[in-house]
Amino acid sequence: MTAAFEELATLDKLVHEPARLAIMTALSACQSADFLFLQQLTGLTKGNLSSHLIKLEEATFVQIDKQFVGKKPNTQIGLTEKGRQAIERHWQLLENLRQDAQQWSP
Amino acid sequence: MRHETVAARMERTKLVTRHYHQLQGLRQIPVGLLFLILAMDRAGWWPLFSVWQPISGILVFGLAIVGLWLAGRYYDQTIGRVTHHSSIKSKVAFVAGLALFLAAQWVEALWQWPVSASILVFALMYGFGFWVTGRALHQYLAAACLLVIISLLPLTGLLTTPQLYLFGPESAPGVALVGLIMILVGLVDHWWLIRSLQSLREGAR
Repeated sequence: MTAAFEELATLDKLVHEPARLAIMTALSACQSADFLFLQQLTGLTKGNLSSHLIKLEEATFVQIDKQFVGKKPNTQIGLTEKGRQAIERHWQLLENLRQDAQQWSP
Repeated sequence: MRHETVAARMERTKLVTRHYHQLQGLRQIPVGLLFLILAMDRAGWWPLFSVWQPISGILVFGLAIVGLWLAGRYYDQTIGRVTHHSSIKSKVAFVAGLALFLAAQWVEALWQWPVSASILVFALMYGFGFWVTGRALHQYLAAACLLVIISLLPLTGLLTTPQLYLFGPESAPGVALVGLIMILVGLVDHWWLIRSLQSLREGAR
């Protein structure tokens, strides 16, 4: 059981926060997604989504590209290699914890 | 919140993102309508084709392309854009689907089979769609099963094989049935996408 708690302690809090976990999970399933898609998927306000993306960008987990589609600005967000590894590792840790928890007896 | 619930939500998040383009069901509506109009033409219920030929045909195809563009624009502007790495698997599937479809036309032109090869190819494509999407989108399985049943209808005597041969002069029933299924699957895809996004947003609160 100690090993499970040790693993729990290694969970990256930056990734584990529910909104950021949803953002990174979605981005792990594509090359990039735009701001509107992530907003529709997570239900976050523009301000909240921006602040989460800034935190992820500061950790170099995501890359943000601002461009114009026609005359409208469009923000594309994609995972960096570091971000992709971080989310994969995070899901692996959660899976390990889930398997450990199933073996615990009351 | 329990881990299973979060895990299930994250699986749905991945599914919606990974198959966002397939789930843009409104894009299937103009193609399905095009099939219905072609069926009406074959049945002699679409006088425009014979009156303005070939201008009316070009007009109908043009309208279908405009419809496709409008549907794409709707998704881009209301739900957003997702780009994927170009996968060899999807390119191979597209080429294989097209080759199978052409082979089915060739087979049907040469031999009168007791089942419709064209409709079976459509069934195979929907079956492949079901498998590719992790067997989560049951509308593709339902469409595949329906199309298999339709392809077997000549065995029952309800329809003849030429009525299901998509490019034949008697093919109104076959073309109409494929068009209807496309429209229905498109509507279910769209509903599934909207409902999934809604439930993901509610789950996040």
